[in-house]
Amino acid sequence: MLVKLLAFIASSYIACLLVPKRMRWVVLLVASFVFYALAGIKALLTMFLFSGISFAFGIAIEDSAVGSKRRRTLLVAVVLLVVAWILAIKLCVASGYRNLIIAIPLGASYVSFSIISYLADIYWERDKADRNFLKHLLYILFFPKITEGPINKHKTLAQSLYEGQDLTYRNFCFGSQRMLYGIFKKLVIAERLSMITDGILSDLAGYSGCMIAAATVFAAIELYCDFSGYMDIVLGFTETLGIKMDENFRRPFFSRSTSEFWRRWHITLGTWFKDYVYTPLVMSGIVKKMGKWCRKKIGKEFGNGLMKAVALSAVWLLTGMWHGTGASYIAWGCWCGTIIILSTFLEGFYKKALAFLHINTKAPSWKLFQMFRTSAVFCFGIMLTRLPDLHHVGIAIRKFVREPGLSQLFSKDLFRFGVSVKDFILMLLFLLGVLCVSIMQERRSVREFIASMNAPVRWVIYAAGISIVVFFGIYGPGHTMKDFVYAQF
Amino acid sequence: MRNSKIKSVIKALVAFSGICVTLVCIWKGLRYALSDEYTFYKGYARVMMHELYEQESIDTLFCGASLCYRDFDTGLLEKELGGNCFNAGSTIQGVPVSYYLLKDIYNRIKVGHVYLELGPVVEIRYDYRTDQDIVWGMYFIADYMKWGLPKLEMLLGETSPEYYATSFLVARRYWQKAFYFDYVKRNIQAKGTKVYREYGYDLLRSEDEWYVGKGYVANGVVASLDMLNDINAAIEYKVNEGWKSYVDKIINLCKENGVEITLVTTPVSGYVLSRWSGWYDGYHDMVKEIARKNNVDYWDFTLVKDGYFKPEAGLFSDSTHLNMYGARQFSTLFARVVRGELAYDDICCRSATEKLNGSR
Repeated sequence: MLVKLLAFIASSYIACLLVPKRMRWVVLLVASFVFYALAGIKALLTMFLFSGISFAFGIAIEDSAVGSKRRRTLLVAVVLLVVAWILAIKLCVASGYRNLIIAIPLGASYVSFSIISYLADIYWERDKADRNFLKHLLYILFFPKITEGPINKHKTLAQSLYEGQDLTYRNFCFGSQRMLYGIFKKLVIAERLSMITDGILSDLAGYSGCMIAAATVFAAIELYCDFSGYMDIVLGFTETLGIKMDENFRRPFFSRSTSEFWRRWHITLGTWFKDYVYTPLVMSGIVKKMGKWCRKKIGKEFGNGLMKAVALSAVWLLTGMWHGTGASYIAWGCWCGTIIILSTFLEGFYKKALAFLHINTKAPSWKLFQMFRTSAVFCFGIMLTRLPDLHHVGIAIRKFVREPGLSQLFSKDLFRFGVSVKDFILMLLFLLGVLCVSIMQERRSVREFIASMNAPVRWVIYAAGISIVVFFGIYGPGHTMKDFVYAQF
Repeated sequence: MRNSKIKSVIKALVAFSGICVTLVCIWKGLRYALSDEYTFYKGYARVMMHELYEQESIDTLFCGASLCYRDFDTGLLEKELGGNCFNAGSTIQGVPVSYYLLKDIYNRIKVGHVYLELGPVVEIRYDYRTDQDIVWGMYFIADYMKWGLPKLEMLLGETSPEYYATSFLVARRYWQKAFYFDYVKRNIQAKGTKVYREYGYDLLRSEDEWYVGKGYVANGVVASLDMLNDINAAIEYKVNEGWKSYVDKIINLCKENGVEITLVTTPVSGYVLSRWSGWYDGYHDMVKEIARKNNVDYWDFTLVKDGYFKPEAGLFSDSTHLNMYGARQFSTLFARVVRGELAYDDICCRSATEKLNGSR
């Protein structure tokens, strides 16, 4: 998939160079069509149909009177249709009845988010409906974002996508650098880690609790490098075209709370659920009435907290179900939701406890502890979804408690999966590199920093970056590259 | 506005050139440090190709796999036949590699007669584009071929895309060796020597073999009976249509360039032929048909009569390859056939069955 994506990116960019700015949307539309058609004609036709529905309903909603029953009915009807469609796909795939579905369109989940957000924004008068079907089709099918996002709102993406931007040298340089960084994370780190994590997590019986814990941590890092690597490639490409898409990651492992983590990880998914599930739920009449009743009965603080908890529960249940309909994903959604809800309720108590214990919350050691704690919570969530089912999660937890087996971590068992000791050390060095880049990114733009250097120094940096990816990347004969992880959703 | 666009384009071109030059330096440096081109197997191919490109004209050229470069003693053949003889055989050289190598040679060197070695050990078994052994065998030649269309066609057309990085970037094949500092140090030291730089032969020696020159590798091992009967003989015969089409292409290429071509196979031990007896005649007939169709000669010395070349243990280094004594004897016989002193039909049986029956 990476090779196919890069080939499309390269040929699309060259094609855009050759046409005037106002025609670039046509090139991107054709590229998106071809990209999609390669996944199957039936899938393309299904997406065509839903794009048509989205287009028609968008105009119909906009043309309806604000506050009218017709306007509300149109929105509810199409949202229910899209949700039913996605649910049907997920349930059929999860239960093994793939044949029941005519076509499983590539990126169906992300497309459904795009359609719902587009129509909801029109309904709330935050956006205007597209009046050109082909341009609307481009917004839905735009190939860089279709398989893994980011989930961009129509109002933020449409203008730069439809009108075309100048192809500047600076955009090309910055975008290419970002793409190279993304390919590095995927090929050099994520693929290497997958050899270890697949080996350990597919067969828990042979490994101690500490080995499984280590594999879980590696799985979390692997997922980050895979997903954020894809985002870097996609956002780097759109940057070369002057198209601004929303960021999806912001150094999530620097988060000091689970709430903050989900504002830094898969940002556009969190924003989507906040804007189109959480906020409407909290602002709905029923929840407002419930809130009033709760505040009256159990106090203002608990009353407000309870309403937030209800909305958060709905959000996290849906988030879990979006990832998958199996018990593992629902458990994962419940886990994340529970942690956030508990944090919300216990915030006051927590502050008092810290003050009582005289803990200096501004100290770097405390901030570091918070980051580790938050990452540990996330890693546990990864274990829920990475292991085949909850039964295996139980096995893993029992092993961690009863047979930690720390010594196995320092034996040669870690290096039985095609990654030698030296290769592993190299990977740790590269991870250190990613950490350094991330720390730098918290303070300033790394690409601006590189751009400030003299040309020959920059050339050496670019050439070294390309060489590291080509030389140390895990690909080629004898290795089957894994597809990008989030494409499965 | 137009000026700034032109400036951007120039800036981009300069940057692109700078990055390309830096990349070339990095990759050449990595190849220098990591590729063990001074050792025997890689080294002899390097020296052989260097010598090949130094030839202005070649009267007798041999092409093929390891049976070729071990069985045809070019020094002896030059004395027997006169003219310039050269052996462009290499390890696991499949017919596609022979084809592109000849295509490149004909662009640069005048060639009189080509003898294409077609022993079945390499020829018929593999899916060329994805079999790692075959692809690695291609690299023996590809790494030292001069850049041109034949080399590009071979690397892009004869390997599947997953091999492209290793095909074009030699150092990539050795990335795991980057961590072995002793290995890297040995490479750098060996490549710094005068012998290496001047394509000398002193480094081109293994325990049993050494490079003699002009593509011929002499082997001093005398095989035991066990070695003659080893697993190398257990081949399953399967016709490879791709292989047949490449033999046709090679023959046509030679004809287009006014080069005579003869298809040959070299002697193997009696033990091996008896193990191959179930299918060898089918193979022989297939090659014979190709030769007949293209109006070229086919000399199958695997079927040579014992009176002219008895495949005894003392002449082999293993079940299929002649040692230096066997190569000497065989090359002498071969020269007599080339000179017309002996007729192929008189000295070779018509089938493996006939040969095996004759030797019983």
